Amino acid sequence: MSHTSLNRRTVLRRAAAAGLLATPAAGFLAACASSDSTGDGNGGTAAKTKDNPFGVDAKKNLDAVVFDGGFGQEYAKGYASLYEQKYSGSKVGITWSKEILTDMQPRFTGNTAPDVINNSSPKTLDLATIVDQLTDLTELYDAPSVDDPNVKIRDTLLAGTIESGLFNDKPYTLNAAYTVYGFFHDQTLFDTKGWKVPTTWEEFLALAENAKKEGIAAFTHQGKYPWYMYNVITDWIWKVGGKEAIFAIDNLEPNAWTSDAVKTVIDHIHEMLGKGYVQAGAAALDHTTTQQAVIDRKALFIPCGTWLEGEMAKTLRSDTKLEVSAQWSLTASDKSPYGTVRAAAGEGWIVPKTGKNPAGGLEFLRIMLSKAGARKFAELTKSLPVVKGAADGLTGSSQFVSANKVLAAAGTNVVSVRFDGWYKDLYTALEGAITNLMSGKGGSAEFTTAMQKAADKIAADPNVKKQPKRTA
Amino acid sequence: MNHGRARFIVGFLFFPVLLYVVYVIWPYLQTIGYSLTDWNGFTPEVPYAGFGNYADLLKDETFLRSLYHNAVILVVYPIVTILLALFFAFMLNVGGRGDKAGVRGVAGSGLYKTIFFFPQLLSIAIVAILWSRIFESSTDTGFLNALLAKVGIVDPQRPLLFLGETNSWLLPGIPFGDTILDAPVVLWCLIAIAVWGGVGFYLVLFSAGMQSIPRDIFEAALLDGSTRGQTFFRITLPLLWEQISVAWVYLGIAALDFFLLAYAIAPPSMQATGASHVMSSWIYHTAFGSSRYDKFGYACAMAVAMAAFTFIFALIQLRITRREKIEF
Repeated sequence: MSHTSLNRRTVLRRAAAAGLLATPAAGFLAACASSDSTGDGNGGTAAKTKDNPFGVDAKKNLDAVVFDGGFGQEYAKGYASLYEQKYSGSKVGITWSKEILTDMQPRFTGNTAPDVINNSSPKTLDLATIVDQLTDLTELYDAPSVDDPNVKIRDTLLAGTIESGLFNDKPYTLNAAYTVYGFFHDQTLFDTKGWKVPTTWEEFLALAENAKKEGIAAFTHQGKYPWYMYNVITDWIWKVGGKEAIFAIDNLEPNAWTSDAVKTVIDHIHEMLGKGYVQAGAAALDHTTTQQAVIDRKALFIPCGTWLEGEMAKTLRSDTKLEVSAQWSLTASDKSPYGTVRAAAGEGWIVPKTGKNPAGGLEFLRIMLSKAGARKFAELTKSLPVVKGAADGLTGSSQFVSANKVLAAAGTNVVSVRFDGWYKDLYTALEGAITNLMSGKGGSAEFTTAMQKAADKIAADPNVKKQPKRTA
Repeated sequence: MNHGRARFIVGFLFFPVLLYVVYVIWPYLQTIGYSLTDWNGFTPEVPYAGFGNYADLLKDETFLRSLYHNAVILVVYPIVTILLALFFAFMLNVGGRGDKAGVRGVAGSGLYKTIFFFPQLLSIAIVAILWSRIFESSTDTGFLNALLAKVGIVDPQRPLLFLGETNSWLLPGIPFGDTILDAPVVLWCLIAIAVWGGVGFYLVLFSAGMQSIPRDIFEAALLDGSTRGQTFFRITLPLLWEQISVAWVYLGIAALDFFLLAYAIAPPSMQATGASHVMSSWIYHTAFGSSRYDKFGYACAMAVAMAAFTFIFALIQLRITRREKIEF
């Protein structure tokens, strides 16, 4: 608690001037660094061969920064040991971070960026602000793969992986994990009760009523973190109104938030709340508490992504069978069919130009994309790696198998949303509107009015740079 | 002789002053400098922008709402903390039963002091976990909700949200543009935590002050048949004025800050609605989570404004509470 002037100063400094302390020196350093004197651009010193395409100096250490989150630490340590095996003179130092943005900002302003960063976590680096300091990963994608020197890395990746990391049409981010989002449930509970996963709103209502009689809430959500419900709402908007409904929102079009699709979605969620199908108090509970409610069989469905099983590994029951399924249809006239899901290559990795060993950073990613690296990732995190076929035949996890199935059923009906990254203030406004909705402070009228106001404000704000219109 | 003394003083002061200049004064000056720019916080270039950021402040409704929240805290937090700390300090030092001769505190006062001071020893992370359990919105696992459900005040189907409640309490919300000037329940919860955390410190401060008041004054009052209340208002309070005035300034500054509570204890959902924001947390949010291209410069302008408010407050407070000092 801050009551002395000393604490106050500490706090003020953190709040208002984090990272500024490093800037006097950074000014001088930046002057040198931005003149781009590194020649070939990756700082490699050894000869470039098929086995060492970036010319990594085997004696140089590697400085990696990795998000310490739901995936745990083991998988990244696995990459590090693969790297150290190949370059026996080097050591990979991994710095764990809970908030990449907060930890990395001073290192970017101070020109002491690490060699490779896992740009994930609740607070990620905004590419727009650091893009000049990043390596274009085209070089990586054109390099021979570890497993077969005759195949380029770009040909070993799942479709859409490279595109998902484009910024200004250049690949700066390698998204390494394929995440499937949707509603998660415990299949064991469903089997013992003889229940089926609903595909329509009517089926859900019937199931919810049955569950209510047994004292089980049909739905819960990570109330303290409205991001999860943001996924649910935008996915349903896409499903009910088609992708055009989301494009309109992404493009800040007038009345995008007052469309019938948005109203339908919010009305249904409001109905679910009104009928008492949502876990009591969920609006102010955190993610672990509500996710545990599903494992404890006090709630049926929770929106999440395929890191869930790894995140909750310590508290799973011996017979818990977490499975993911698509969000059920809301109306008979939904524009996108049942099975539409959000799935995206995520868990971004970036390679700063200004690190001491950028060639090593690229090589670290190349090793990560080897069959051995990708499979280890799948085994340890129960998530799908972006490397084709790397996880084939893995059956240890019900979540993993169901995610594969959901993805196959979705085909091209895959949801993606842009405005959350493009216009952070609009996203924050949505988090606020979701919080109000989920804690019973109004329905679709309040929600759509608030959101439309927020969108109009950003559209008119000269301090916010607008993105080119989204058409696909 | 004089030369040696100067060297002596400089020798002692050089490093503290250097540290202070490098780590306090210089960042302050930098913040003022950056507040006049459109810097985004990452690029080596820092484009100058004049006073536009300050003009934007007046149009920033969330900033004004946060300022209002600070004002609520500024009124409530110091008063409640000082009153509680005074009461406890009096009871622990002077307020013992009058059936025996002498001036003393209530029985077991040493233990109470330890208990009241204990929150001072906890880091904000522990405080956050502790209080999020107390305020948890579940009648199974939330301490307060379970208690209230037992008494029958709370329906298990509708647990109180506490740290997740945006409704205004005690003060009616005043609509203001697209936002509202209010005192949400979540803010009251944060104030309660702050009081809990702060009382122990001021209790010790006031205890020390009371112990420096000569015993014979209290004894004389007792002999004259003074009650506990009379002793407190006629003797303790006037003679403690200096400590109270210091406490008032400290608590006022803490009330204008409040960052750790608003940032670490208020959940992200509340920060998104703006219900829990105070100036400092809104500055942080703007600097790192805004879509403005000049977010860092703009946040620095807010920080300078906040520093100005704090400075003005401290000046006013010191002027109001200025009294003649009594030498014992």
